[in-house]
Amino acid sequence: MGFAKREKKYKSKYNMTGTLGWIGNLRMNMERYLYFLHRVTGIGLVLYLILHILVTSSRMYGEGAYEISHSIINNPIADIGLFFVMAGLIFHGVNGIRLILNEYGFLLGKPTKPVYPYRQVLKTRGPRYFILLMIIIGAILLLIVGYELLLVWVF
Amino acid sequence: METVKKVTFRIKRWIPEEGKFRIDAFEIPVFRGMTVLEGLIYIKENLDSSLAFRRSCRMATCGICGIIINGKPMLACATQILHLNSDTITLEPLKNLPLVKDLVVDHTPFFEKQRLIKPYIIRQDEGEEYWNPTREYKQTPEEVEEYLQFSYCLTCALCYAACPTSGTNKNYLGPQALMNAYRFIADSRDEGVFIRLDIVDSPDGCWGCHLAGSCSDACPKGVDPALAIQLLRKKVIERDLGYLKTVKGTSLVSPLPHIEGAKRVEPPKFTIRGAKKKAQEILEKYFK
Repeated sequence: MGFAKREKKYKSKYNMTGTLGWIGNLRMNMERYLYFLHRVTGIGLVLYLILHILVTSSRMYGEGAYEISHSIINNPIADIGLFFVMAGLIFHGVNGIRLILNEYGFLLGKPTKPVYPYRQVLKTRGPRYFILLMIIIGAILLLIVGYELLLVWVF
Repeated sequence: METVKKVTFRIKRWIPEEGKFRIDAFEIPVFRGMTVLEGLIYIKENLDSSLAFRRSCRMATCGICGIIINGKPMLACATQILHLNSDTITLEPLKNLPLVKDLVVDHTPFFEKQRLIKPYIIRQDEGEEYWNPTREYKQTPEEVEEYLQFSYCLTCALCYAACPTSGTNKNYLGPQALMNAYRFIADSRDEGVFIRLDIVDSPDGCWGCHLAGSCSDACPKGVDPALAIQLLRKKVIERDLGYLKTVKGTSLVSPLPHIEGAKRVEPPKFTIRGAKKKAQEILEKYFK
């Protein structure tokens, strides 16, 4: 059998991790979790935006249509959903600020001598404290959002 | 060697004749200090001679034995079985590369991408001195530290297998190639910064990175590709804002005047017939 024929006989394929590989890799460092959440919240926000445009665009068909579409979403369950949308928005926002700063080379420092134990710059104090700061800012914003939503139904 | 315990290797093998995976289990005796690679060699010698895997140096220097061990990309030769703290160890071929057989993958796309970013010193004054060097270029220890960390890369493709962007985009250059681009940009002898920035400034280049940090986490040599890619992006921004001026590489060291009659040491003669011609062909193909 010629070499070309033998090549054809044996099958090969790219062993791609694909979209499941966002979390499929078991070596999950903190930035990988943030990366996954950033992607998921991004997709969630786009879906919410479509829903939001659909609801508000009903105003084009008169005041009655707008009232009907609004009455569907005007309940506590929808507000709980809105809370999660806001949580996603806050996470995406604060993590986005971290990514913008880090991805343009800020807060990362300089390369070091490769001496064991090896230093990973993302695991040093600067980037990690910045993540902590973003968590605190996010938590404060989320408390404000939760309080505002509670005001509507409780008080 | 005294056997400490028995461990089961569950190997996810690619069967090229059938075009699908098959999982085989092998029970092997483990002694203290035994690496995963030694376990694979034990299987090949005693249990199944048809098992295919790659290895060469057995001391984390060649970087060819990279496989997925218990879901994590690691070097088989640098991972001790007892350190894994598990009675069953799952082995898979590296991700994001074409499969060949069992645990063997084809590294061609990986090396093609490395070749794209021109991983060698580029000089504007390319002449006789560039092709047949007689002296070194000047470099201070501080200038060496700018890129030394990135020059320790083994090209083992563990970062490439761990990267989520490489897992969804076949055209993405990958952490290793981008890191290597920065390694040469940061080198004070190099003058090819604008050539390389043009290559990496694309969604398939440095803008494809989403800072998941898995590449740095997987690297067995502490090379930190994630840092290099972010610094590379900084360079692209600097160029776009006009801060990056024409880079002049360091000059050659002065000739040594006190050695009279000093001449260049010739490289050893090729021992294999036709090797010189082959080497020249490769040089002409990739470096001209």
